[in-house]
Amino acid sequence: MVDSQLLAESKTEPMGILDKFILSNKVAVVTGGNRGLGKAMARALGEAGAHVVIAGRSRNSLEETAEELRQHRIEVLALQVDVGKEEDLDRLVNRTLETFKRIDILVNNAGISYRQPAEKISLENWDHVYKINLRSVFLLSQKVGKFMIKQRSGKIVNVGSLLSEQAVPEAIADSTTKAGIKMLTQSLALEWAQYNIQVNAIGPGYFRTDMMEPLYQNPAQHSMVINRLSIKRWGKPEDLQGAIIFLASAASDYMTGQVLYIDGGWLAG
Amino acid sequence: MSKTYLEKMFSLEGQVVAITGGGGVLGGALAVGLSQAGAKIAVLNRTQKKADRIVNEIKKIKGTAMAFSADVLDKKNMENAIQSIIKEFGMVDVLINCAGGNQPTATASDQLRFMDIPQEPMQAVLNINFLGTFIPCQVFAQFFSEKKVGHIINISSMAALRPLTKVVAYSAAKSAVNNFTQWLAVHLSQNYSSSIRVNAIAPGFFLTEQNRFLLTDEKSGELTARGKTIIAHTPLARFGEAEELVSTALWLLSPASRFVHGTVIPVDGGFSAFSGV
Repeated sequence: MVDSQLLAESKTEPMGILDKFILSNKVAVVTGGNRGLGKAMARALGEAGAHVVIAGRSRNSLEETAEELRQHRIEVLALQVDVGKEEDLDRLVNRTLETFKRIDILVNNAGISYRQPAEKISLENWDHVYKINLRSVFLLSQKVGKFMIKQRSGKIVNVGSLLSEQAVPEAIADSTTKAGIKMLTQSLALEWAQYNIQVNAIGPGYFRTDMMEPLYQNPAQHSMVINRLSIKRWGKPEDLQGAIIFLASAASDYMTGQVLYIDGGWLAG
Repeated sequence: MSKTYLEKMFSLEGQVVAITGGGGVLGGALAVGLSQAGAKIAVLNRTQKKADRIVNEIKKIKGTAMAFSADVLDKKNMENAIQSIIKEFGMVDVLINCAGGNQPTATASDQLRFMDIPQEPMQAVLNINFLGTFIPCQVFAQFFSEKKVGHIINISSMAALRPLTKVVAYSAAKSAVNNFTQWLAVHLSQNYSSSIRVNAIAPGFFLTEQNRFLLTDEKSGELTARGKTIIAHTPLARFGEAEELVSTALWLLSPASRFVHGTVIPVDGGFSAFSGV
């Protein structure tokens, strides 16, 4: 029986609880870790002690980000990867295992946004958004998951969106794939709980990143967001850093299948 | 190096945290855990003795805490409590609403049909869980709105997201707490300050004084059929540990979470993600 006295006495060190967030010697793979939200998350994981593998398409930004992380004494492997290509995903997994021997944390962050009215979006564009935002997340999770199942531990963090929960105009491909991320997260959580793998997602609201810059610069869109948000500002990439450490660490060991919305109160009202 | 970064991100050094129901199992665990992260804790409880016990635990580990006798259903009483907290600690930064609970007479069972549940215990459970959150929020919101900054965490329940069989009053009351969390988040930031945050944690199954009679056999301590059903329905196949709520609260209270607002965070071992089949 749980008893508060026993609970209180089971704590030995005064700062023990913060140790749950430590990621020392953990190996984290972050897709799209070279820029935007992925870069901020890679930095946070590294600062918390993890070795970080950043995978992205642009060689230049990969090198820049890797250099920046190394300046903060983070061990980094940067790999040029197109998550739309299965052979690239295999290479990502193999190179990570060759270098670090394990994968503890997978952050499926790479994604694209394609905004067009539903009646105009081409099948080619629809398929492309699906391939990057959902298919690649399934494939990489499956590849890394096989390893985590053998390892009997792992943390997978997917990046959903407030669009996982709510539709907005002219974003049908983004929204449908991000809603898919929510169900993929729940399904993997359910199937892999028995292997001590926790699968959760982060659902960012409106964040100012390279990808969202056109919306940020559009006066109508910008004020729509500010007016709706009671917190009165767009999110900054560093607003995800606490959540990623939480979900990647033992601090969240009893949480699985959830989406943490980090949206400045958007979904609340 | 990583420790310093994490301390900066998650430490509560110098902050004052008030916890209602701080003498209970989960409230007490939150009190002890958050004090380990550096917070000064005001342990509020209707029964002072229970609060004292938690304060002693905190002092044993060299933390700072003080017990306050306070009834969450008595506004005047809560106003006196916040005055005493401010007098003792000079400040209060965080309110955690952990007071709440269920009772067998507001729970349908083989012995008590839904049609026969008396109004009085029904009302009592609605009161302690909903009004017992609402009233402390009113009192602390007054202070937070003057200061233009503050943080409230309501402790909701999995029962709010997925009504549990038998547990009628508690499920309804906690559901109201979720709705109120969203309402209050928007209301306070729209009218007072965008630096006042309101969120909730929805614990799944943790053994507590309130649910022990449903989940374990009084005599043998073995899981009841219901306890077994819950474990079978929890993908992680175990009850939660109180410190897993502490780490969730630390994440929510961190400055790194300042864009997290109006949310309800389930900590339920996957219970709510699982259809049961």
